[in-house]
Amino acid sequence: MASTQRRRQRRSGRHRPYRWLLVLPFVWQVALVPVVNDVSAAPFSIPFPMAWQMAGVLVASAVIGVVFLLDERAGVAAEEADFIAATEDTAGARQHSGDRS
Amino acid sequence: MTLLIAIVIVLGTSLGAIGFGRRSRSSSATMSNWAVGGRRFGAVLFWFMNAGEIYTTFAVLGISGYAWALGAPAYLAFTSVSLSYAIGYWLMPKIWRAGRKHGLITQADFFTARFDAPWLGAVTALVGIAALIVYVQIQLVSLSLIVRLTIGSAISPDAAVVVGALLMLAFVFLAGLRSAAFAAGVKDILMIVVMVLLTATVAGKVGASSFLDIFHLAEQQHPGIGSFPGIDPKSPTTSVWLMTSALNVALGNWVFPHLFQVSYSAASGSSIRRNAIWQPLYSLAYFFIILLGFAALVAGTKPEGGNLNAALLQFVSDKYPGWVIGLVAGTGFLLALAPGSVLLLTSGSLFARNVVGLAGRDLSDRSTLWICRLSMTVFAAVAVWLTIGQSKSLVDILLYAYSAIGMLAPGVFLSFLWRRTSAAGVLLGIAAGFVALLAPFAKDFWAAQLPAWEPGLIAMGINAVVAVLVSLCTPAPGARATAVGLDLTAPTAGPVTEAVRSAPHAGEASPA
Repeated sequence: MASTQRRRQRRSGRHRPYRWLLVLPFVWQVALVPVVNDVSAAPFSIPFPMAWQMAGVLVASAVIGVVFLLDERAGVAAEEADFIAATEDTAGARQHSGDRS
Repeated sequence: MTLLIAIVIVLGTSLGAIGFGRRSRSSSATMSNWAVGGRRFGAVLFWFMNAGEIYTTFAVLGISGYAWALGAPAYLAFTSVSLSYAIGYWLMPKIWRAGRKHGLITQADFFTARFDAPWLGAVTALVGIAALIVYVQIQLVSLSLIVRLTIGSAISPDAAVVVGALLMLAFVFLAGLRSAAFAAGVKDILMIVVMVLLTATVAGKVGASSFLDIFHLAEQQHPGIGSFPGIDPKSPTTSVWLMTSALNVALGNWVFPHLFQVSYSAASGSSIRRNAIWQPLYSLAYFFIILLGFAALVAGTKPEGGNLNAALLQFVSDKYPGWVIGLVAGTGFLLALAPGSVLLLTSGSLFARNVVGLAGRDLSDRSTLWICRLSMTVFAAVAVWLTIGQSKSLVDILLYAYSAIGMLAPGVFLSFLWRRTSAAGVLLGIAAGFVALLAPFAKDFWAAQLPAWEPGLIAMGINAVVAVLVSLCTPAPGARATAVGLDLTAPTAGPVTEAVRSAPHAGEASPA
């Protein structure tokens, strides 16, 4: 029993290396803060560090979007549909509405 | 005029929200229905639920105030949402799966199930409630400022805090989670309208040639305002401050009990992940808020008592006609009331379910509901007591709240990552973290050695190290309990045994 549990746990942590892309927003918006702080250019009069952080928001959205597409390609949606179907009973609303009256 | 418009906005939205909340509640009135929306929130409601919790009065008054008083440190706003969702993309679906698979309602339910330890659920519930109360303070400080903007300075600041708390409780007693999502939707649309309206007209109000010219004028009047540490070259808000604060916010964000519960409320993991792509873009709206803070500075706005939280409101009431002030005030009320009600609801359900529920037998619907309401009132009173007589900036209060909730972050992350994490490890980690955060000797040490570092992040690190070390020397929970965090695949055969006792019915949050 314990060993099957262990195996399933490992399977659920299946390796998806592209998810490490999610580190990129941290590189842009955190690690590079000191590097860009003294840039004096001001695109559209906006102070550079501010423009950098705004660009960082766009980068984060784009990166998350790419990871989403890679997840779709890896078949996450199908696996998830199975999960939703298999957990209908524990999801809550139905289970409790039944024993209410 | 001002008062009339504000009242129309608040009452109209409240009625709409209550109607919206009622409509769908016909089928089953259960705890899971009002606390996690029956786990049926699709893309639109889930979006507004998320946005509602991010764009609060903190966003508008706190960030504009920071821009007015300090300058560059307001950029923290741009990091908070995008980084939170970069983590949330990975974490929130896990929380959602655990919640769905095991019928979890609160965050403390998760700890109870993952460590097979209801006592740890109660401890984490209390930590969560403490952080939520600090968060409620933000809404109260803002509400009191807006009350004074609409009624005038005839009412004292302390009385305005009490009025704000009463308004919030009234809203909470009438609204459930769906109602809050509705009110959040209305306030988000109003906020965009207000921001566009103010930005379009602001240049003329401060004598700039265009709204972008305001940045230029601000830099001219206060050289260095646009980069760290901001206006005051001796301020501790350096690049390091931004880096550590941004990390602390991103790591702590989903650990807030109400945001943990938001993950439960999703209808599917895809709606969570899709939302994570678009939600950060919304945070670009902070551009307008920071711009208005700079505009207030350029215009020489002097809020009463130099209170930075009031900078934007003071600027608007100095420069704009009554109907704009009314629109801003009405929007401001909603910005505080909608998230505030979710915060109080969450703390009430945590207390009734995971603290009182630990001691008592199964409670009836009626008594759970009453415990919920009574405890929410007490928590609101505590928040009032904390608020009265202090004038900290909203950003500082927010960072306190994140420091407190950050104490649960190592427990949450380790739960999903490491099978060996033990209940004792989580508990002692929390204890060590709080000592590092609150003990005077520790505070002084950080202030002297690492003045620019966000203390919450340091405490979170110590917490994590202690949690790992203690977990190595203590036995891990049983296989069924660790599976709550680590086996998130579909159950294969046979009925799933619920790891938590089945949910007590809390009934409706509304009096009907």
